[in-house]
Amino acid sequence: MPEARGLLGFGAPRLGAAPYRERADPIDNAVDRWLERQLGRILAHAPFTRIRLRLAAWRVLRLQPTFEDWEDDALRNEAQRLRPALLRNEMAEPELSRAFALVREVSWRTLGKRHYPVQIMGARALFEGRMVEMATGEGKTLTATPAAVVAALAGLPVHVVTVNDYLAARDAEENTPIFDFFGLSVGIIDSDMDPQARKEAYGCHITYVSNKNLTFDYLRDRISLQHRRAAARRRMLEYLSGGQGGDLMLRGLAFAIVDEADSVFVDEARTPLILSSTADDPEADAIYGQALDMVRQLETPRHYKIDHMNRQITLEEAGKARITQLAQDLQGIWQIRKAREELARQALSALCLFEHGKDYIIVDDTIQIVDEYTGRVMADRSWQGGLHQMIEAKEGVEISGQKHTLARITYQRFFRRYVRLAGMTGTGTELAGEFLDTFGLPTVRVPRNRRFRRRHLRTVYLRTEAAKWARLARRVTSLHQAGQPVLIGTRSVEASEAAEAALRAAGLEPAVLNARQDAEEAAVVARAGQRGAITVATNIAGRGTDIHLGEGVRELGGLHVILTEFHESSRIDRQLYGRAGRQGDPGSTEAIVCLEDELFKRFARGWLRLCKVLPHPGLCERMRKAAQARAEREHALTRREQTKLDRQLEKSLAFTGRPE
Amino acid sequence: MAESFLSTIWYRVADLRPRLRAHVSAHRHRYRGQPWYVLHDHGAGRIHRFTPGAYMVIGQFDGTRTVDAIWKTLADSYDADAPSQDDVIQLLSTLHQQDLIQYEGAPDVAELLERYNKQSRQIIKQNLTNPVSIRVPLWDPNAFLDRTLPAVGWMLGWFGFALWALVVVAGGATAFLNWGRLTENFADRILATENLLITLVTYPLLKALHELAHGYLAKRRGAEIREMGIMFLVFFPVPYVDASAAAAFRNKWHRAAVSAGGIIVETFAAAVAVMIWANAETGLVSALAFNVVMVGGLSTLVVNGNPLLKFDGYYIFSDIIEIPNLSDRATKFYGHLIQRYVFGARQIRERTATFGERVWFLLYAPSAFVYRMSVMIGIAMLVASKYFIIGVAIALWSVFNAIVKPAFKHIRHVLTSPKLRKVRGRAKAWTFGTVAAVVAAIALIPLPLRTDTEGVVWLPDDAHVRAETSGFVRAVTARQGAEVAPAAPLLELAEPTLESRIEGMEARVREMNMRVIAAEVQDRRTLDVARLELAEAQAELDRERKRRQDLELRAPRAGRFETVMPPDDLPGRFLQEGDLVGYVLPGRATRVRVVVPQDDIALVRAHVEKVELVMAGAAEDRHESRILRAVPSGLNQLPSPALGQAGGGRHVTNPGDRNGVETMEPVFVYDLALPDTLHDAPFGARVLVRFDHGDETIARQGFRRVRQLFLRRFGA
Repeated sequence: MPEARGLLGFGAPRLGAAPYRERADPIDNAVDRWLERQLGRILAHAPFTRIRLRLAAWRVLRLQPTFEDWEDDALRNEAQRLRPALLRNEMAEPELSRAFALVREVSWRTLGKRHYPVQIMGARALFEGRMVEMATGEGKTLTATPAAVVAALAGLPVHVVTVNDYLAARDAEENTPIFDFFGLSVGIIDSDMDPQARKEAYGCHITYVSNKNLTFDYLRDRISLQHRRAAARRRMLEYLSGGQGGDLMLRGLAFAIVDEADSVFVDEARTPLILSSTADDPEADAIYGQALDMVRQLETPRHYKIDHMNRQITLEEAGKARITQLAQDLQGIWQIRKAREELARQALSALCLFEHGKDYIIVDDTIQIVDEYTGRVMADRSWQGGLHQMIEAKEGVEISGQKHTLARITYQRFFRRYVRLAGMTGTGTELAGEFLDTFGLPTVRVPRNRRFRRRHLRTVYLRTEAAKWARLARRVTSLHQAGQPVLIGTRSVEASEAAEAALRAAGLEPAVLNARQDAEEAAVVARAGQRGAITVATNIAGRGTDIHLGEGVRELGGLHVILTEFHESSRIDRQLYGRAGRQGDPGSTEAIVCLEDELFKRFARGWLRLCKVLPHPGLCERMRKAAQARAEREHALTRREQTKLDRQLEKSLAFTGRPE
Repeated sequence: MAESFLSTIWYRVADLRPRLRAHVSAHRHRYRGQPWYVLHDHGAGRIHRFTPGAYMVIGQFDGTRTVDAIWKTLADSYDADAPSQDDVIQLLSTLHQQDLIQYEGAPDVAELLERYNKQSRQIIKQNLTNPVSIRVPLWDPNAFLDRTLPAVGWMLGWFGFALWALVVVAGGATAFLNWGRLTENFADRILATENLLITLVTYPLLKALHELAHGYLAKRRGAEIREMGIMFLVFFPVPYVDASAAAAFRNKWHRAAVSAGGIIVETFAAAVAVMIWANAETGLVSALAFNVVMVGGLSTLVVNGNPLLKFDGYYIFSDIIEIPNLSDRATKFYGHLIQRYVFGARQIRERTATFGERVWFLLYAPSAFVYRMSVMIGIAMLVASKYFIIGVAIALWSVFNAIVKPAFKHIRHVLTSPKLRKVRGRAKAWTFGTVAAVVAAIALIPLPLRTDTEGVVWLPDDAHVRAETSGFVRAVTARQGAEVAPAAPLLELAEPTLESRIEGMEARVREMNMRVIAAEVQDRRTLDVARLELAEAQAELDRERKRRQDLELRAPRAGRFETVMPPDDLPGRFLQEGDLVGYVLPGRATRVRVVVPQDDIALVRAHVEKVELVMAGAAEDRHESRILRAVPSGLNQLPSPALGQAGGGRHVTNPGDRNGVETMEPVFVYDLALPDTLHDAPFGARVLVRFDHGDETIARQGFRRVRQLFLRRFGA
């Protein structure tokens, strides 16, 4: 109820105690959240907003003949003329429609692209602070520009949030001509930038930044503020210190447009972001080795039990006794019961639960985490509480220092602080409830611009993994002979390697992406549409990059996407399929999977048994749906539980004040 | 969250320099041989108990050292049981939530405000969730108690205790000697209106003394008493004193004494009252005294002094067995047992408890639950007897509070608790399996449905030999125990004046006859009157002649003649018309006459599969029978006083009826065939009767009873 007015859209939002504009953390309870979840689902399917957006877009399009004849300077002057009205009220009509029409015209003049009506609808929805669901390949990058420009004209610091640095730079550069035309400055944040450069970039009208960088920079601001956060106190301090104290990087959490929002808000939001400092502790390094030696003398199941499903190690009493016995001659931390048991548990986890190639890879003698969920390498993340060091010790690489947490925040908490938050996603309707209850974002679906020309050919269920790879090789060979480009999506780096091996054995030359997320990778993905290209990539690799079809490919049927393993979330499968048939291009998809895939084993045991006896495609399809539904339900529950735990933690830590 | 030694959120607390608030003092207590540290918050009058391990940390909170430094010291001492960072954070959080620590720096003001609002709403919430005990705090009695303590101090020591013991022993003895008189017609006396009116005065007064006793006893050992107010116990206003500060006393007997103060005062008053009552004439004083005995004695026994309800008795009990928070911990212990052993959640840590404590937990939780439920239902029924709707509301509310709400909470726990994550499937299966089994048992499994009642071996009406007219017994013609034929003479009565009265009557008839004849010729106007008089005289004569005939009692049927008293005692005795003289017993009994109460009649009428008889005193022999005859309308008359309450039967009779056969509610009479196996059953013997209606589910049986209750209440 306290948030009702925000939800109904009247009254000012409650602002938090901060030197710049940000929303206060919501006060709500389980019932509020449940209601919001239901409301979010209803809103996502109701047509009201879409109809209204269509009308608004029509008002913008109607202005096209007017502005077409104007000189560039006239357009610039018109933009400046609209600013006072927009500064007073961002939603003022007809100024808002005129401003949108201006951006559309300028985009035509500078980039040669005029926004489609659906893109204007999307832009309008973004400007209003909604989650916009647009089909993949409908030009989301361009959709964001009118909203960003108009918000910047209205005086709001605009953050355009992308999933990685490469996309931030690329999107910014793509749109810079438009911003330049209006005299708006653009800042791009790169992970390697120093604080001063970052501050300058945030000082620009519009800042392109990856979600991680943005959140860390916010945390750094919070740390530099410590407890002196209230605006008045801050101003007084600045006054007393003679105008100093400009050590903040951000200008406020006024407006953010989050690209690939489902990935940021859902997939990546499962772990909090932790800002830490590294401290070397030579004594500690020895301990990891000792712990590993010690647990190698234990045996399962007498001393400990492994729970693969929940990734947990449980020490049995016998194991505890054995550790106590082994630790007798050791000094220091080994003498503390709880500490040595935890060390043993961690050492066991490092040995038994975390596998090289699946959970982490070793690049340049450092351990890099592979996200289990997306198959992506998380370059500078590390496991907590000594686990990372334990794995480093196990692999014999140099042990990095223990990280000491300085601040932590979850994406759920951080993004909710934006006074206005907007998101773009290709696949988000099924998450609409969660977007509203966790981020306060109502979802709206924007229709496609062009006819959808992608066809799903078939889903093949095979019995064994070997059969799967053999079938894949056969299939790719036959497609390759015709010259049609093929993109093969896998779930993990391991699977990528298996697919590559199978293809090479068949005498093919696939390009393989190992999800490093850089420009080179994007280039490979971009080439995937060329005639005769064969590309193997993890599901997420190079996302955000359009695959343009090469010459003559259109006639061959466009890009063909082969899915080799269903993901736990059908959303991510659809994202992979979405690589084909962009912007009205032709394209086709198919799935070649096997009954040995982990998804079925983990989430649909009963169905799996049935399907092994009766491998009917219809049954298998039901099994997939059941498994994905269950997996998604469990993940949603986990996320809700985590949010709840975070809330509880915050509550119990209230006595420490709120540094984040 | 798994228990870990280093915490990722340690940075939040590492630099705090906490110290205990100035108004918090620490005491070392022993409970069941284990040392504990008790923090006494003098400001709020609250007590918090901590383990020595926790106190190892708390004791170092001096406001100068950081939490990090303190923890490092503890960890460096390499004590095997050094607390983990999570432990310390948990402890700090608890201390903060109880307002026991302070530290420099700004806390989260929004959270403080939220907590303040929550606390101030708490009491309203508490009252709403438990409308049968509403607390309204009114006054801080500390100064008052300080000032008046010297005046009552002499009563609070050993002298007072001795005096109390003496009086209570004497009172107990008096009650024992007058037990019959004290307990006769108990329920009626308690619920009588005048008694309730007296209670309205005595109860609050007695409770005021009771509460002051708590206050003074706590005060005497230096505790502060900061809250006094009125509690509405079942809508009945009674004062209360918050003496929880006494929990800080080190000596468990001192703590128990404070809790016992109320009981001491009430039993003392009851003992004095019982002595007054025993010696006073019936009247206001006696009624008042009786009332005090009931309020002070009964309520102490059933409610206040009983450890199974959370009143004084519970606190005394838990102090003496040295398990504070017994009820809570017992419930949690069961929760733990179920989660660990039934659900298989092995990783759940047990809250430390000694063996003895566990035994207490095991025993306490179920017995307290059963007792609490019975008392609540009892209260509800008592209230319902006067105020039906309120009673039903209380009953529903207590069922909701005792069963529905906890069940809901437990199910939610099973469904959402992160602790049960690994075993959720098993936990769900057990929980819903049990629920389903109970529901199935209630809704599906048929249980025998029976109506038990009582009857008597019925002597036919015509077997009674009654005096048909009044007179003195002249002779017993038939022999006692002789077989007589119908109309055989049994007894002769004499009515000495009868013969002369008949002669007088005859003369009068003759006279009237004459007068009629005379009138026919002389005065025809008076003829009608004369004829009338003649007819009247004639009728009177006939009646008297009939009486003369009736003086000879004849057997109404064939059978064995039995007199009600020894035949030798009969001659010369005067009998009123209608007095029972004896019986002419048929060869054997054939019927049992049974009464069925109104509540059960519908069932008996609808469906009877089998009727069983058991003779009183021979319970092991069951005999099958059948219904011969049913009287369709209800009567307010029992066929025999043996069935009424006064006669030792089960049917409630009107206390005003001397014969003990007039019932309060209509009963229905059935005649059952007496089976051959019972041919020698004596007439008038009590028979237990069971109507078997076949099997029916508990749900249907319960529904029928509840519907009946409502139909009766609303006069349908």
